[in-house]
Formats: sequence, C-alpha cells, structure tokens
Amino acid sequence: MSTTTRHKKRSPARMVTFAVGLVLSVAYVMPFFLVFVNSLKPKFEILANPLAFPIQISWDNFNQALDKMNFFVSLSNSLIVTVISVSALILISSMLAFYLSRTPNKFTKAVFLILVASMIVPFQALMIPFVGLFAPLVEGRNIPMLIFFYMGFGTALSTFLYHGFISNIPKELDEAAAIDGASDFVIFWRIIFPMLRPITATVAIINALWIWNDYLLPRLVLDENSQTLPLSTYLFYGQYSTEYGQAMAGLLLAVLPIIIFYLVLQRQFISGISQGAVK
Amino acid sequence: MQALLKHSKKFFLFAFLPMAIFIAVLVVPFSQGVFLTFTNWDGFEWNKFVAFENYAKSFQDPTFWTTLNFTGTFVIVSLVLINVVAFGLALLVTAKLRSSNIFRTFFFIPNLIGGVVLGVIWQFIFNSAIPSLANTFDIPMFQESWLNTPGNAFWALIIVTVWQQSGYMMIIYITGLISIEQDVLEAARIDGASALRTLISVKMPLMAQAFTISLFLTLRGGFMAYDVNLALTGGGPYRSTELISMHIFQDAFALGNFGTGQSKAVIMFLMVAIAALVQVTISKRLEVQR
Amino acid sequence: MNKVAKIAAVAMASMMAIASITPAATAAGTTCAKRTNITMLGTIKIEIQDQFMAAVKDYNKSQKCYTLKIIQGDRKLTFLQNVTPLYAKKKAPTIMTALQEVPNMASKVMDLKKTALAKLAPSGLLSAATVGKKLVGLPTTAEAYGLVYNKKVLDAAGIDPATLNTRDKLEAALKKVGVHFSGLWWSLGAHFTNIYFANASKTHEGRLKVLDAMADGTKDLSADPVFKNYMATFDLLKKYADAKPNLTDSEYDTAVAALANGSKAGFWFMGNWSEPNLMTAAPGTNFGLMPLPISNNAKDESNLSISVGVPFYYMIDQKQSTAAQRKGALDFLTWMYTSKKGQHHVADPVTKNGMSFIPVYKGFKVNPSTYMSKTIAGYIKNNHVLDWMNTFYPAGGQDKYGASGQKYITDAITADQYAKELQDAWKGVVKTWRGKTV
Repeated sequence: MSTTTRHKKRSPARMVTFAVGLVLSVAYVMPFFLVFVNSLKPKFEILANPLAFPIQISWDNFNQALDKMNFFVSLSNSLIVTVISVSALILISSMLAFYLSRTPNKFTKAVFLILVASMIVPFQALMIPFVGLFAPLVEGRNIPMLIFFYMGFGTALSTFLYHGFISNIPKELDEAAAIDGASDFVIFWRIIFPMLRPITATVAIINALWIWNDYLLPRLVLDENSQTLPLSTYLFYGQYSTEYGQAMAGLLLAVLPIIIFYLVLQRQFISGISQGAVK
Repeated sequence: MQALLKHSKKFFLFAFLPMAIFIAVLVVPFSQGVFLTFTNWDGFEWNKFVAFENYAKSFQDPTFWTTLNFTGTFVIVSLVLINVVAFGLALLVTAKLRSSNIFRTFFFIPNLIGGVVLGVIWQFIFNSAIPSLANTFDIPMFQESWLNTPGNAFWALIIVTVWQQSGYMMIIYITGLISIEQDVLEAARIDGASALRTLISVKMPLMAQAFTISLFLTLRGGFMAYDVNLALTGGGPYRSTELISMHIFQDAFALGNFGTGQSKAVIMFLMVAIAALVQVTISKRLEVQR
Repeated sequence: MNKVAKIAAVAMASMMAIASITPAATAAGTTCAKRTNITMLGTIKIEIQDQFMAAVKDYNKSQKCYTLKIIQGDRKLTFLQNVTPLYAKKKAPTIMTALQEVPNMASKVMDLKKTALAKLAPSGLLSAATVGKKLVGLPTTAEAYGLVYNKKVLDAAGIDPATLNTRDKLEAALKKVGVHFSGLWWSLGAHFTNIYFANASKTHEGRLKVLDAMADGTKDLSADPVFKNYMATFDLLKKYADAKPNLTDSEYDTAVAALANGSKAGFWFMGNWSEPNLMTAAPGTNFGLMPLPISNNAKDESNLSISVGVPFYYMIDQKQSTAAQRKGALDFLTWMYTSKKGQHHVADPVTKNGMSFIPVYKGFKVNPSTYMSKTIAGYIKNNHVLDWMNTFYPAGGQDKYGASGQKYITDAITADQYAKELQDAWKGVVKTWRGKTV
C-alpha cells in the first residue's frame, strides 16, 4: 500500500501537474507581492527599478497612506455599508422568496420572472435617470441611502437563490406547522429560515464581495466625508503625477481586510459559491 | 373574503417591502430611462417627443460602432479564455495533489478584490514592472508598455479580466467535477477509456450545468465590464479600448449627450438580453440532449 | 509689444513692484452669527493639493464667517465629467476652476466684473474669461511652457541654452544630451499643438483667423510652411528621444525621473509646473525653461519665445448657491491673493509649503525665487512670449488633438494623416473666440 502511494506521488504526470500549479500560483499572487515590495520604497526608487527589493525598508508610505485615505473612517464606512446591506438583503429576500415560492399564482410567477429578467439590466441603462431621481434624497444621508440602493439592486439575485432552495424544502413541513396553529410568520422564522443556512452563506458571500468592492454606485452617491475603501484608494493618483509608494501602501491596506477575512473563512467562501452555482 | 384578507396580510408581511424597494431603485429609473430616449431630454428637462431620433443619432456615431465592435471582440475572447483557464484550473486542483487546497486558495484571491484596485495594480505592472524586466533581459516585445498600442492594450485588458475572474469560475467547475458520481468514472476506467476520453465524453457532459452557469456569468460580466477598463486603460490609448459601459458614461457625462447616452444604454440592455437568452437556450438544449 | 507680452509684463511688474495698493477688505476680523459652508471642486491642480489644502486650513482659521471645504472629484475624469453630475444632484460646488470649459459654464456662474480681484488683474488676462459682457472667470496664476532643461547636464556638455535659436542648433545640442518627449495626451494635445497655432500668424487677429479657417474647414495645414516647420520639430524630438514613447498616465513621473537623472536626457518639452516635481527628484539641481525653436531663421520670434498663459480660471456658481456662499467664495479668493499669509501660500516654493505660482495680481509682495521662475521672468521682461491659443480650443478638443499626437509619436499615422485628423477635429466647432456661445 505504502509503496503504491509513493510511486503514485512520484509519477511524471503528477510532477508536471504540481509544477504547473506552482507556476500558476506564483503568477496569481505575484502582483500582490510586487505591490508589497514597492510599498516599502520611496517614489523614485520605485520608478528607477520597480522589481528591486527596497534598499532600506521604510514604513513611511503606510503612515502617510493611513493618514491621507483616512483609513479607519473609510474602513468603518465600508464595514457599515457591507454588513447592514447584506443583513438587510438576507432578511428581505429570504422572506420574498418564501412568499413567491409558497404562494403559487399568476402574480407571484410574474414577479419572479421580472426579478430574473432584471438581473441582465446593466446599471448603465438606469444610471442617468437614477442620479436625477435620487439626488435630492441623498443629501445629508449618504450612507443610509447607499444601503437602501444596495437593497434594491441586490434583491433580484438573492431572491432567486433563496427561491431555488426553498422550492426544494417539502411543503408538508409548513403545512404540518400550520395545522398546529402556527402563523406564516412563525413558520418562516422558526422552521424555514434555520433550514436556509447553507444558501444564506452563499447570499452573504456573493453580496458582500460585490458591495465591498463596488466602485461606481458609491462614487455617484457618496460625498467627500463618507468615502468607502475602493474610493479612497484613488486619492494617490494625480492628474499628472502619482505618489507611487503611498499608492502601493494604500492599495495593500484596502485589500488586506477582505484577504484576511477570506483566509479565515475560506471553506465557507468556496462552499458558498458552489452552493450558488448549483442553485 | 377572509382568504383574501389572509392573503394580502401575507403579501404585506413578506413581499411588500422588498418589492417596493426593488421597484423604486430599479424599475422606476429604468422605465424612466427608456421613456426619456424618445424625448429631447438634455439631462435636466424635456418638452417634446422625438420618436427614434436619439437611436438614429446613436447609430450614426462612428465611435459607437468602434465601441460595439471592440466590446463584441472583448466579450467573445474573454468568455472563451476565462472558461478555458477556469476549467483547466479546476482540473488542476481536483487532481488530488496534496497542495490542491493551497493552489485553490491562491487562484481565488484576485476575485476578492474590486476591478478598480486590480486595474491600478496591473497598470503599474504593465507600465513599469514588465518593461523593466524586459530591459534587464533584453526582450524587445515587452520593452514598451502594453498599454501604449491599441492591440496590446486589448490583450492587457483580457489578461487582467481572465486573471480576475477565472478563480470564481474555477469554483463552479470544481463543483461540477466533484458532483460526478464515482461509479460512472469507475465504469469508464473499466471500459479502458483514456483520461482525455473520460474528460470529454463522460465528465464534461455530466457537468453541463456548470458550463451553462459559468458561460452566462462571463457573458454578462463581459458586456457590463467597467471597473477594470476604467482603472487599467482608461479607454486609452486614444479612446481605442473603450468598452460599451465606459462609452455610455463618456457620452452622457463627458460630452453631455444624455439623449444618445441613454439610448445607447437601452441598446446595450437589448444586446445583453438577446445574447444571454441565446446562450442559455443553446446551453440548456445541449444539457438536455446529453 | 504684442498683447500677451503686455499682459505678462503687467504680471511681472506686479510681481516685482513694491505694493502701493491697500489690501482689499476680507472677512478677517469681522464676526458672524454662524459660519457659512462653501465648497470648491478640486485644488486647482492635484500636484499642489497639499499646499492648497494648507492655504484652505489657514483661511478657515483666519476668520469666523465661512468654512471652505474641498470636493475632490474624480481624477480620472475631466472637469465637465465631474461637474455635470454635481449640478444634476443639485450639489454644485461654489468655486470651480477650468480653462477651455469656461464658455460651457458661462450661463451657470456669476459675473465677477465688479469684484476687487478683477480690478487687480491685468485686463488682458481677463479677455479669455469674458463671455458676452460677463466676466465669468478670474485667473489663478500664469504658467509657461517650452523646453525644460537640466542646467547641470547642459553645463557639463558646454551647451548655452540662449544660443539654441534655430532647429539645427537644437539638433546639435540634442545629439550631445538627448531629449525626453512625453506622449501624454494633454501635453501633445494642448501645449505642443499650441507651438503651431501660436506661430501660425504674427498678429493675434491673424491667429484667430487661422482658428476661424480651422472651424470653417477651409484650412489646409499640410500646405502651411509654419506647419511644416512644426512637424519638422516634432520629428526632431521623436528622433532624439531617450526612450520609446509612453502614452499612459505613468509618463509624467517617468519623465521627471529621466530629466532629474539627466544621463540620457537634458531636455524635456514641458512647463514650469514640473519644477517642484523636478526639484524633489533632484534636490540641489537647477532646471530652466527655454523656447522650442521650430525654424532655421534665428530671428523668428517663435525661436526666441516661450508660451505664457493662464492655466485655469476661478468661477463662482450662480445657480445653486446662496448670496452668502458667493460672498464667501470671493472672500476666500481675495484673501489668498491680497493678504500676506495668502500670498505666501500662493507664491512660496513648494519646499516652503507654497504653491510656487507665478503671481498675476497687482500688489503682490511675495516673489517667487526659484531658478526656473527667474529664467521665465527674463523672457517676459524682453517680451519673448507666445500666446496660449489653447485657451480658445473647444472643450474636449485637446483630447482629440492629443489622440492624433499620440498616434503620430508612435508612428501609427503619417504627418499628412496627422494634419487631416486635426482638420477634421476642428471642423464645425463653435467660435467662442468670436464671442459665440456654446
């Protein structure tokens, strides 16, 4: 037994596969490594030789970047928007999906179809009137409005995912509870929602990745005092000149939270996405 | 009567809020947008109907055709490459190597990060890192920034897009691959089918659904791509790499052509809708056939 | 004395003169019931962002009536791209700065004719910001462009920039030290094309007539000897360039590094705004500015003169602001250009946390002191200055001319195609230089 496994591991095909995997892995993370190396160098050292290691390691760029992008404010804005929007989406779209799948009639079918169709509406197709319509409401309540918009734009996909999952839960379950006198509200929260855990993870991850990284919508909605992380990374790019060292540090700071989050919850990320793919 | 009451109570409890928000945020602006393309709207107000004038103007704009052409090529090339690479990665990490999990972790990382940040990172790589490497080793092809010429800038855009999205599609393909039951594969092995043969005739048909989803997602992503385009090439050199999303943004906000900008957006919607419908129909038919 | 020379001379005179004008009244010292918020889009230029913000901070501290806040805008986008959504959102900034877009904004901004600053500005600098009878903009500063050089490199090679008054002499110098030629769209589109348009005729009216002909579509550039000379200079810079052209945004920093280093390039076609960047990159080295000769006639004014003009005008919104906000906006600008503290912010070198601006308002007590500003002063004193015809380019026009320049610099098109593209891009533009409104 042990000889065969050892033999298997040394077979040329496996070696090649491993080598290809290794090269590709390096290629996939190289850009981040380059950014890290350059974030430790002053601007003109970066321009002179972007590939060299720093002559002297300096964390100055990080200090300046933290300060310039108002890092902790941007980070907390990003967190607030993402966490609240995702929670709200889970809440409203699971309930909507429950309603649509458990009340089969012409109306609910039409609603479901419209939701599915809306997933292929490009944001550009409604961006211009959107700005005009909501501009007066956004003033002074940037962040709450942004969350409201994410609830609107995220409903379709989340409801679609929940709908597929709920349709597979046997109806007898809620019927039995209904006979026991439970109201719809109680049935949903006590019986159905706990069963939705796997798909809830999917909804949370897919929406969190989108909202955390989104650029265009926050750019149209937020003003200077309430930037999110993706917006604040643009501060280092001038019309002519760029503070490369600070920009590198800023980019790294902006991606760090999500990478840490991913490394900690890797299993949930992967299974969440596969769950979404099989519907 | 009581049934109706009960029903509407359920509707208000479960569906009213999400539907109201959905209608306010998405349906109203979209309908208004479509409506306004038939008027002489200037971004602020309108006072008469102009029928299809905005659409006619859009199609008379030569830069719009360049953009459509460029977007079409981008969608096709990125769709093919992302899926080929993602499928390859999926095969690689399901090859039962001890390092599979680490590989998978690495391949997925670019996906965690938004297109704007990725575009900015890669702009630095194409403009500084690669030419510097090429100068050291004297490789003429890479000495000039790839973002300098329209042809190379297109490939730069493709490389970054594939790099970003292949990890996500890889997960979908992995799901497809591991959902295939072991006894089917065992039967193929007993029949003496080669690894390649098993892949093409057994594995791929059995995971057709994964292809449908992945193709749909990449198709949609290709048409709607904006962030990477903005941050990597900014449409340059000389507006030769403007994808349709950026073109619409430019037309409306840079040049103030709100009428044609909005019409082009509606045209874009129709294109995405038709392409997606065709793709899903074909894929579904193939899924059933197999 | 041509018109620009007059303007520039006034600017210089005011710069050098001991002020005899009492400072205009500002809000300093007065008390207000509550602070009014005013906003400004951008910081004139991103390059002096930190220095401008320092001025804003000082201003906010210096009085109790107004708080000025900066709206950063998106650097990847043009002025109109940034300002249009703000107007649509009803959040127009109180203060804006622009150049070619000034006519586009004319109906939305206030008339500045009766302001204290307008009276302190040389009248010649105001004509480009006058639309109809309304004065819609106030100059921020004057800028100059031409061939920037590394003095250390030129000294070592024994080259005296003052003697390079023909294209052949320039070529001899370029053979020795090399040139960096930037493929940046704005540099090629606005500044490099101006070398042609500013020399296309000897009189201001004649040059405007060239623009008329371009707009009417009757101009044949390839047949114009000045244009041929211009293209010959274009080719010369391409030939002696130290590196392959770079068309991307990283070019500016690359160029600064190249000229600061000096081993491959002693010259760079750019303007005085690059001096702070160059001085940061090569502390202790002097950088000067000289004309870009475009002919072989040593007496041609084109070979003796640098381009001087106003890069941006301040505008104050009229449509979405309150009277108090407009008053505050004016108060801030007046403070910057007339108070001692403000003037230091404007004209001090970057090393002293100033914006390193060339002052254009009368009564300036703070003088710029860097090497480049002194060389510029020399040209201005001798009236060797060229018009900024690019002030009259239509909004978005320089993007197109820059695109054509980028194609030519990378050999994607021929000189004739380049001429044709310029002609096509100009055909049918609104003649704002004749007072026509957009």
